[in-house]
Amino acid sequence: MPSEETKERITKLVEVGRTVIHYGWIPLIIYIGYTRSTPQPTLIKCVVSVPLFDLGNF
Amino acid sequence: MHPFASYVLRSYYRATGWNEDNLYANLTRSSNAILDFSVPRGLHLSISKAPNGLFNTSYSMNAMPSLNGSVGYIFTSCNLDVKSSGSVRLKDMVERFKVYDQPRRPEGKGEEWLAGERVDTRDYLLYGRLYLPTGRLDALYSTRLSPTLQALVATISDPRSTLSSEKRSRGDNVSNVMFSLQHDIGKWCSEYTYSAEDGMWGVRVLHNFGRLRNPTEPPEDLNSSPGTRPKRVDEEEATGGGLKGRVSAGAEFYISAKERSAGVSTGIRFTTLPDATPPSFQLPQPSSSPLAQSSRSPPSQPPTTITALFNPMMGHISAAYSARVSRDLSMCSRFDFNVYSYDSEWTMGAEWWMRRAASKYEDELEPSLIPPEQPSVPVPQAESVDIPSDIRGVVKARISTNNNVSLMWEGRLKQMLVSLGFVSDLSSRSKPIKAIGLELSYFSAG
Repeated sequence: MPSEETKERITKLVEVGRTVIHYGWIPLIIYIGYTRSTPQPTLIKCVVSVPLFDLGNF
Repeated sequence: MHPFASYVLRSYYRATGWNEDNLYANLTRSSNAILDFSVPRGLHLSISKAPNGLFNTSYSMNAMPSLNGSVGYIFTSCNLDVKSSGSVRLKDMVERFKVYDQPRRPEGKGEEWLAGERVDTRDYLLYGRLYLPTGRLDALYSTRLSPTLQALVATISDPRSTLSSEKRSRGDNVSNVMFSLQHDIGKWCSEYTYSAEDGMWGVRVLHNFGRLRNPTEPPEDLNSSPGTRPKRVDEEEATGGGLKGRVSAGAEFYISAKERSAGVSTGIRFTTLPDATPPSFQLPQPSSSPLAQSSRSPPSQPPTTITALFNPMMGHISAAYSARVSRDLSMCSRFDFNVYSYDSEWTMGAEWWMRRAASKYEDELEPSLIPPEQPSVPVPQAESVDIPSDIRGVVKARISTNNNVSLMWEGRLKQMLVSLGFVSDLSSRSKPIKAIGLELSYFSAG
């Protein structure tokens, strides 16, 4: 059985991991989308991509 | 109406050749599409944009019950042909009755070599959606480990759930992470899941009886029907009757040591073989055409799916029968019964596809059902593939013995996809309308 200290450490590690995923997941997708897209769009286009100009078709 | 993210996920599965219909969890998909459609509640608006084939952004806002919104990002490793809401095939956006194609062993993409090194990479999909103002995050990572193996990791992370233990005990807004491994070899498909929050392990297996379809041959060889084969002298006429199809059976088992609970469920499905001949090919052909023989084949049977589910621990039995009775009308009937409590429910539903008044085109083609070899055959009517669809929308209705009536219309207005519906409780005189909603969705590509 792991000691209380180890358990505490694991719990803390899981909490930190969760926080990193919570705040880092969407920036990670944007970063991957930005770097791997060809042709590379501007970063602002990746973050904010609203089809406002297309709405003129109505 | 599928949300945009779900449409992209389906496009990703189609692009990578993964058959999501061959899972035990989707055994009753055809009847659920008619009977368990979800009616929008309140007002939903969503706009999405695909700047290129790999990256998609989606924003949505819910108003009326309470104001909240979300922003989602999807990235896929393969180029998807995501259409705009004005040009997307309506049948791709609506959960509907469909007779699924015969399963086959998924094939991975071919190896790519460059300068003596293998350069092809594993396909993957990344999805994240952040809800405001709650700050909840939904995340999904899906990757193809091998041609027959797919892994999924799905997470819900809600910062509030760490703060309020009360909510946690109630079981809502709880953060969770779920791992899933799917193994599909066509005849067998198995899925292994683990859910971290309640420590639940699950196994689902689906087996398809009968001969598997070989990817190199057409889906259903109509030319080999009895009408084209030379008859023996003493052979009797085929008596007809009964449906030709295939049978699939599956089971699910899950256990949680943490919650001290376990469950099991079994299911069986009979489905007719899909009529693989696209409607444009069924028009009278010149006798020189190699497909002319197919016109002599017996008339095609109505697409039908019959399913039965049994959960021995809960004592729940559910049997459903669904069929497409005409080109635009599908109907379904389902009976649910509990052997312990004698509770029962009978649900009936229908979906009706509405077309433009002067309909001169045939039904839309099923892209998955077009055999790859067929386009090379010289067929005069083949250009009808490019004709835009004349489908305007679909009306879905269901009624059940617990006095619930639901009605929904889904269709396209200008460039927008619209769904409008209500749920009504006939037994309640004070509040006959339980829910009413409108959903507007607009997305564009490029």
